[in-house]
Amino acid sequence: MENDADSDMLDVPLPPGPSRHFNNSAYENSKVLTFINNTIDNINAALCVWPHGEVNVVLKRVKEIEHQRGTVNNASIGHGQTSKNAKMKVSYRQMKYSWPGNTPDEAWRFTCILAILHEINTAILSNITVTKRDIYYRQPELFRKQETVDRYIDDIAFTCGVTRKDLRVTASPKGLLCGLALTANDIFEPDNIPGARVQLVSSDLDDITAQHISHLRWILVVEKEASFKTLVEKRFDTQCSLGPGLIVTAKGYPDLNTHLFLRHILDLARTTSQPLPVFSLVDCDPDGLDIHRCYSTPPRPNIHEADASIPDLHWLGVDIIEWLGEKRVMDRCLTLTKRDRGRARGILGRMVEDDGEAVVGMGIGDGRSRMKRCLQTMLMLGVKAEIQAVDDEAVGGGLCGWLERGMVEARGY
Amino acid sequence: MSKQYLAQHTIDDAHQTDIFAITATPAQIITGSGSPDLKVHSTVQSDFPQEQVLKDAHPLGTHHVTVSADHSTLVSVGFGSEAKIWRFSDGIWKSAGDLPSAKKAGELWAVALDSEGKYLVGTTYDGRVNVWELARVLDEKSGEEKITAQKFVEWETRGGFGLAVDVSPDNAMTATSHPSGNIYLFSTSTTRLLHSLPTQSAPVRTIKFSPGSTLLAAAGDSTLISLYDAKSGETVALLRGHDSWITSLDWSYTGEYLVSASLDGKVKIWSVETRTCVCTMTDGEGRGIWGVKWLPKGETSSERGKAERFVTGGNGGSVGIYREASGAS
Repeated sequence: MENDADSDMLDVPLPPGPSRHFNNSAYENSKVLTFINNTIDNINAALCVWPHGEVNVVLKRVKEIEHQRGTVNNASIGHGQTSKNAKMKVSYRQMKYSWPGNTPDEAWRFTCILAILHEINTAILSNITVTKRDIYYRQPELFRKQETVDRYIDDIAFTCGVTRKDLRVTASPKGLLCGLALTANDIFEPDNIPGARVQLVSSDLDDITAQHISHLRWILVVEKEASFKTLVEKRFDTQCSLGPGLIVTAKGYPDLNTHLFLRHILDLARTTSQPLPVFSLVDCDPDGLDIHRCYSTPPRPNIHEADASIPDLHWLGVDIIEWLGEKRVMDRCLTLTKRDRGRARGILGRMVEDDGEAVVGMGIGDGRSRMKRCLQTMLMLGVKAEIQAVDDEAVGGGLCGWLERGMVEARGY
Repeated sequence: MSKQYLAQHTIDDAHQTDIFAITATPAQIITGSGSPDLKVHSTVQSDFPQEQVLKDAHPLGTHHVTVSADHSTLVSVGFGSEAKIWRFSDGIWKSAGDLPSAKKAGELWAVALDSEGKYLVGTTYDGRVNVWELARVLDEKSGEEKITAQKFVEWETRGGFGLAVDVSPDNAMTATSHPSGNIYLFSTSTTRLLHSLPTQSAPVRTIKFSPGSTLLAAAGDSTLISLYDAKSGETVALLRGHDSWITSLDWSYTGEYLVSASLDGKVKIWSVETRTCVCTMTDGEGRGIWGVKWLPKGETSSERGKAERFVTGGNGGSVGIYREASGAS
């Protein structure tokens, strides 16, 4: 079924920034429709052949991506601009799914792909957006797992040479935000937080204009929903001494919607020269640091996803090094598991490889060096610290006070 | 009987980043940090100049260094779980070989050498102790002397992560300490468990046998320093005074004093006889200290008569050298 026959190299220019996407999709949509029409035409033709033709659909799957070093560096690409010079070498293989094929498995895969193509076709022609979850739940017995849908959607997008958004398929948004005033319809009151305004990060970004964000003085990206709720309860978005700001959480690893949302806000701020520093608050553990890097480093695997990275994302904490002398905080640390240690070494190794050296100084004003020191310190002590460990009213104003001090200090460097 | 110590000298920026590992010979201080290089500074000259850089020893940084009592062999361990062996020859440290990495070896952590540098003991993340026999061989091709390491013996401590290890100066005992607070004493020759010492119930990060091999000092997150009788396994004393996690301990040459360092930047000197703290030094900025060591003195009587000195290495990358205020012997 799967042909490893071809392994061509493509020079693929990076897609333009996300804000351009939403206006230029007609051309991309037609590329998808063309692919679908051609696929169906071929199938019809094959069905008409006697005794039997080869009914199949051919997709391309990404095998390996090689970023060309230097040109994909965050520092040299402005956001909102087309990075014409930045290229990636992509190797892919042709996957041919035949029907009925040689095995029941092959027939199943063919069916899944056709079903997905049908959904995409409908979405484009009806001018609506569907989520990957929607597609899965239309026929869960067929697809069996969400991953099946996700994978073929990626392959279809790559085959057509478009991004997933051009298929009119988006991931279900999981991000939450607080601090923006959009339409009254979007506002909901989560349990136990009366009077707070928490909204879902929507995938429809055209509604958000520069005016909506003009009051913002900062953005804080928070790893955990629990910490997000704490800050919302304390009205940190309106009562921070730096002025009103936006608090966002993707409840863990960022989904594409949250990425694009943040990038959109930052791009809008750039158009009006509004200074808008963006900070991250994550647990002091390998996952937390990895989540920060997810937001700040350009994505690797999905080359056809737009570059929504935030290279200026400033890591506020938690940095265990800040608390080493505080036994009360250190005693609340958790033990680093074997997996954590492996991950910490892995992240440290990748950062060293990317930067070409282990640590550059103490990391004053340099988030990456601070992060490497933090990873080494975690490994030395065999512990990690959650955000909750520093949320103690006795520690000078609790979480909010500590955040404010960090944000003020960050502005200074 | 109070002792006064003064900060004699600071080697600013000995490393660009945090110093995690420090050891000393009568003439040198050897340090490892979050950067790839090991640094060697002279203790003979009053301005402690840098004598040697062992460049790119460990790409992800160094967490442990140990030197044999005869100062001929040095072993360093990096965050990538790799270990390097160095030998002192013609006045400099030369690369003598790498510790062989075995599959499923487990993450190598703390290391100690026996007094002659013939055996290297290392702990792992999962509670094993490995011993390698070191042998000097002549490398035919280069004509350089190399040190090979052969796995000699391995045993389980059942204590989990081996945070620290020490071999007694008479080589009879090997001790390991763990996050549970457990401290084990093994016979070096038979690897049999001799004692499971009364635990501190908190991670014990540093253990050291006294120069006479009669006592074992242990300390960690409980902020207490325990002194045990190495033969009977009984607790002999508890030294109180630190407020934060203790990372490092060392015995003075005569065994009369202990020096301890902790993560809030405080260093304390203790009289073993009176079980009291006789002096406390604080890093100006409260930066954590990862290692403290008395500077070994030379063999001559005039050397022995000199004031005691100790070194510290920690966050910020500076090495601090402290000396006794009065030149006592």
